[in-house]
Amino acid sequence: MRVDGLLGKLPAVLLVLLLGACGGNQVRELQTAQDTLALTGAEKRRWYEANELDKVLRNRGILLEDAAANAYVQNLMDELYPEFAGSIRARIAKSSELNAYALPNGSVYINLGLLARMHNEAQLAMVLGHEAAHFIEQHGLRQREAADGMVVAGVALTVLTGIPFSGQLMMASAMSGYSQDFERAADQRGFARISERGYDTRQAAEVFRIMREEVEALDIAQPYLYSSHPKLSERVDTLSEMAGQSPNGNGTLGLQRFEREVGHLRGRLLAQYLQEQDFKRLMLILEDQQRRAAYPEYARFYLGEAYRLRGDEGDQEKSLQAYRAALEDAPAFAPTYRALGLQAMQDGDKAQAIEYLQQYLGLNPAARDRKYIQGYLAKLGKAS
Amino acid sequence: MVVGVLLLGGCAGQWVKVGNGEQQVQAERYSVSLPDNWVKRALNDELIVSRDGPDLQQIVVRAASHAKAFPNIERESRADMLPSELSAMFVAELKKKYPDGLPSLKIERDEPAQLDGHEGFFLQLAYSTDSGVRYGMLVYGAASEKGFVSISFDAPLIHFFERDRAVFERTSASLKLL
Repeated sequence: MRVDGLLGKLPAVLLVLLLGACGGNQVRELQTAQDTLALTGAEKRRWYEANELDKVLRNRGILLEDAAANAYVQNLMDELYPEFAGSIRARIAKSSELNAYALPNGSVYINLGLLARMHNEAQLAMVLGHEAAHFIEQHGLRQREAADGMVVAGVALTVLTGIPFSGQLMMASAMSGYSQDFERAADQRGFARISERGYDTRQAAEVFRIMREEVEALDIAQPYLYSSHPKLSERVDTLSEMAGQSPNGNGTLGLQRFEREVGHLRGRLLAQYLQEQDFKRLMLILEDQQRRAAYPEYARFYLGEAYRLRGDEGDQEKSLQAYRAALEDAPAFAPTYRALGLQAMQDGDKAQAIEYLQQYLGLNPAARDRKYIQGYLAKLGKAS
Repeated sequence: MVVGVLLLGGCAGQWVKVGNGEQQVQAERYSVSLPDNWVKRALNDELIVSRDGPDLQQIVVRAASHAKAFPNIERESRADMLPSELSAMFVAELKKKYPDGLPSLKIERDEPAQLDGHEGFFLQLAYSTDSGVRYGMLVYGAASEKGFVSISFDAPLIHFFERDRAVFERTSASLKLL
């Protein structure tokens, strides 16, 4: 399979972005969008390289095709940083990883896997505020000193983000202290912006609490950020303390608009986790009843699938219970019937299997796996 | 690509021309008849064959024990696994090989198929490279008592995919699971 530099080219390009000629020059902080119209030589080079990277990412198909959701994220970014409207382009990437990142040219990407795990607009605003700060303070350009100690190109995306790109966690310890400062600076600027816009500042810490919870649940040995970065717990503590001193501790959550504009993405994320057979994340977010309440009514189908995929002792019964519960919660959700039908087939209960599988095809006549199911039904028919 | 070649260099065999009566390959878990005058190379548990170079077309035969069938998603295959489940695992494994989950991957066809009489799956996929070139991919896969076997073909949709598709179909029809 040929995908060019999925494992090579992108990190190399990013490394160039980070290690480029910025040593010795004073790197300015951008004040408004106007500043991006008169770039210095080094800035122009980083901009050009970042534009090329944008093209690679686009070619790679990372952009989520949901115009309304993308427009919402962009609008929110513009509301947070009106002085940079038109300069910071915020987009949603399809990846299910808990991640967001900024490029030196003002491109900010937030992964579906992070966006759909946020609980409200205040949390999303914190993520966007943080990433935009990397652009405004030109951390990509300033990173050379911090990156001098790096030996592995693959860490590059992490450098920009403070939230590592998938598969790069083990390289995190290569980072030096500068990034720690940058991440703290981005946290502080993001926090200040959400406070100024009247959001509940306690939600800033919640973003990192969600990340910390995932690190613990997925048993990631060296959590997320490099040893020199502010650790997740430290960030939670620091941002909680800042919220305690903030006048907007009881600001808005922006819950209604968030749910209206991007709430539907949670269902998509569940489907993506299932396609990736990522049962650990499905269980992490769906086993807890309170957390599951934010997800679509058919969510327990995905919990059942998670148990089936894990396949530990007792999981078959757990998956059946979850499927049955999903059937009660969302009787028109077709995949639950398929799951129950396949389970009945495996158990030798042919009549029940036929009934469920026929119901599945009845509810979803255009199912992509229709030919498989028809084949199973044909066999069951012959056997019964 | 260069980085990948460097990293893989240590375990890759040499490219060898197929021909002079060497079209038939017999491995531990399969035998297959390769297209004459193409080149072949063994790489770990894969046999790769190409006519003009793997960027332009490649047929890959992969055979693994059940325990090592889907290492990236840490799942095993079984001889009695449903074809639809094998297909889902194959797609998940493919996506997991790439740090960003191969976001351009599109499943165009996913249906039951036979591989040497074993019930399995057929997938038609499409994806694009970093430079925006669209590739097509065809896959047959099945599980036997010995493990999981797949044969795949991928090539740029422009010219090569349609031109060499028939060669792939002949090659996959010659595949025998041992």
